[in-house]
Amino acid sequence: MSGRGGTKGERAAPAQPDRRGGLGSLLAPRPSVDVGMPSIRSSLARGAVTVLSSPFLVIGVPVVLVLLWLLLVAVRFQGPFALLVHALALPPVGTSADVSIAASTFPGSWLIGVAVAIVLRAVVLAAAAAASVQILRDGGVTRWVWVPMLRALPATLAVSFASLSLLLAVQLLGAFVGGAGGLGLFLLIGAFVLGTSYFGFAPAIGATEDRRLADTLSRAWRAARIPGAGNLSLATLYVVPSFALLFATPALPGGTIGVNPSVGAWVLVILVNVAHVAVAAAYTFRYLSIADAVPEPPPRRPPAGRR
Amino acid sequence: MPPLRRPEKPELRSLRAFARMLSVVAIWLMAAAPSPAFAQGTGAAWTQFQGGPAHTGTAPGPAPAFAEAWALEEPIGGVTGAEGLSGPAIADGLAVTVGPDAVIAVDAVTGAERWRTERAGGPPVHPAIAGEGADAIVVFPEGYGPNPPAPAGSPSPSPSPSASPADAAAAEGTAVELVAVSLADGDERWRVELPSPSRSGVTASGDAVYVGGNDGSVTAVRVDDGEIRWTQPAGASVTSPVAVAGDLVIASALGDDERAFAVVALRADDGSQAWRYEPGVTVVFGTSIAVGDGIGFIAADDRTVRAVDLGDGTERWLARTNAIVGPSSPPLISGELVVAVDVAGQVYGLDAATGDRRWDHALNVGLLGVLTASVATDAVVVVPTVRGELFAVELATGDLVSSTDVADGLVRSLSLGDDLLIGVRSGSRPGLVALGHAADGPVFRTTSPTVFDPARFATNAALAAVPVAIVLLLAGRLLASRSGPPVLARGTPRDPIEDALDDEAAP
Repeated sequence: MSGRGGTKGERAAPAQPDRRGGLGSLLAPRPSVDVGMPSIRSSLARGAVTVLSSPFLVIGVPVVLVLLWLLLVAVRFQGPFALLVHALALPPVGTSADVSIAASTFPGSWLIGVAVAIVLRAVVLAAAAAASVQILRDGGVTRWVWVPMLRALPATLAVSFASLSLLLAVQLLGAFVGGAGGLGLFLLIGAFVLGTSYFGFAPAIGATEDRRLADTLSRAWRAARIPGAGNLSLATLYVVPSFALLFATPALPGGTIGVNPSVGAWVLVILVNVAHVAVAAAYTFRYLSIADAVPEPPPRRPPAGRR
Repeated sequence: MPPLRRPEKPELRSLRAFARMLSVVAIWLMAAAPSPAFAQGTGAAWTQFQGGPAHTGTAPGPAPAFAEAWALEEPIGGVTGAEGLSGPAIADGLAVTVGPDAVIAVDAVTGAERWRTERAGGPPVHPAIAGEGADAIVVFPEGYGPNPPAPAGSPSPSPSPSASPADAAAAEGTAVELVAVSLADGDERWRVELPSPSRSGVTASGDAVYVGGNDGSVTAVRVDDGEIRWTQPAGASVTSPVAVAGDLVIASALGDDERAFAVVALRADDGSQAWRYEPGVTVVFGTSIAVGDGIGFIAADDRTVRAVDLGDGTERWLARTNAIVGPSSPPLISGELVVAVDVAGQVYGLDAATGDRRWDHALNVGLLGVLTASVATDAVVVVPTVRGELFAVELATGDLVSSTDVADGLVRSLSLGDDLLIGVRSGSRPGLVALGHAADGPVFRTTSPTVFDPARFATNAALAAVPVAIVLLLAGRLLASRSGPPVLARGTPRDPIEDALDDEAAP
């Protein structure tokens, strides 16, 4: 992979101590070198420029939203339309919107509905990641965008399902320790921040590197754990307003039941979803900038009997 | 009604158009016909909660639009200062309501007070009128029992020397009795001690009246002399009126840690259990049951409306709603239609036989906008809201045809006479309010926002998407010109966007 290859290629990945066990790569100590992760400010700005300079993405967002809404209406979803503000959100924020919509539409079999929603979300996320990669590397989206998109699909699917598991686990834990309010809410927000931070790089890795799924996810984990990179801060900046928006849904334009959204509701939903795609592009930009500096997992020791 | 309409055959379209035209004409005729509401007596009886022992919530009533005919202002009062009046029972030209400190009978046509009898406290629950003619009685519970509510504004439950008898009784705790007074003059006929405090309201059917208890019991009392015929346990508590279907007395019984919410049918002659229907562990509460032809209908807090076979208590069908239906808002039965109204004000017209949704109308009155029962006339379902509005939704089509502001607080507990709609309101003029047909009132026709309108959908989406896309693309060009194209700078130690951002930040 070649992100900003010339600049980062000179930085050797720090040596990793040899560790035993299957979790060795996940629990490896965090390197203490400056890998040149772009600042949050420049990441967000670059993400915005990436999306806004691409007619493919700017026009693609409302097109996807229109198709999605028609699909939901066809399966008798009646709103509120404002739930679609997180239609193109990164997991696990987007996954929570999937659960809300599926619970309304398929109350008897909502897990099936969530599974369908997650597959759709994975496809859209993969497309957004692939387009962002092409724009950042070549300046525009080509007709071959489907190639990195297909490569990213397993990663986006895995991340979405992992987010669903995380969401269910945290809700269970939240109900146990303090319900939806109080501690449960903090747990949920914390889990969303961690999930966004640790899953955020996976689509870009999937789109750009020919790796096995497990390798892609562990690399995303290692990239997120690079110290001083501000990954948790970026995730917090993303999750907290998203959460607020989720709670404010009834008060938003399109926050009531109805299948013919107003112009104001469309404007809101399109703008917020463009922002989501911009954040996804920011994560892609960040990964491409530090790709060469992400530490490789420690080599596995052969079993003792084979030495 | 499915939001996406399938293409219809031309003959079906014309039939539908003809039906719509007929309904418009019908409403126009109803609106244009001279109303006898303010001139004639109210002959029809709405003797208890939701009309009669079956609690169908349906009776002949005024046609929309509505206008205030009379009002009886009565302070909300009560020990807690927030108890108000019960929904009125109507018979023999009288509307009788139970307040925390008194039972009040008014002329149903004029609102003039006919009699008032003191009541020693207790929740203001819906009374029932039993018997006929000179023997007709009004039956209501009295007393809070051993755990009265704390007086408003007083941290101590001890009554002040100047407290009213009801307040004093409430603070000390009182026996709970079922009381019968004459409908004609309010004189007491009998009273009998109940085994438990009651918030359920009273149901009258034939020679017996029935009340549910906070302890989960159902008690049957003879109308003639107030003798208790039987008391039987049904669940953890019975807080909504029981219904009567033939020889069955049917209660919605709340659950507790050991028991689930259940609909329980008891035999009217001895109170023995005939069947028990439990919707499942996900249901914490449900409404009272409305009884139709061999089927009963309840709404449960898992956003469902359920039909139960009255023969054996098995579930016939289950229909979903978008929000939960409030516990005090049971389904209505109008012919072959079951109507449910959820807390956000979405009205659902369901096929009574199958549960299929024939239509729905989303009034969108807020998250908890509808908390009490709606009622249905021959033509419309009338939905009261916590904002003091009455919405009339046409039963034939699901279209909204009228909207009336009744109060600056909530309006609730509607009852129907032939020509009047009588309810309870709060706000600056609390008390009873009666509405009749207003010949010159506005009647309109609004389709539900849940009916998909392709033209409107496409127009709104395009009006939003095209300008937004243009503006965003122009903004993108501007940003790119200032910060460089969105291509990772190869071979440079610093992305040029950093310089652009630094320049912007510099003074």
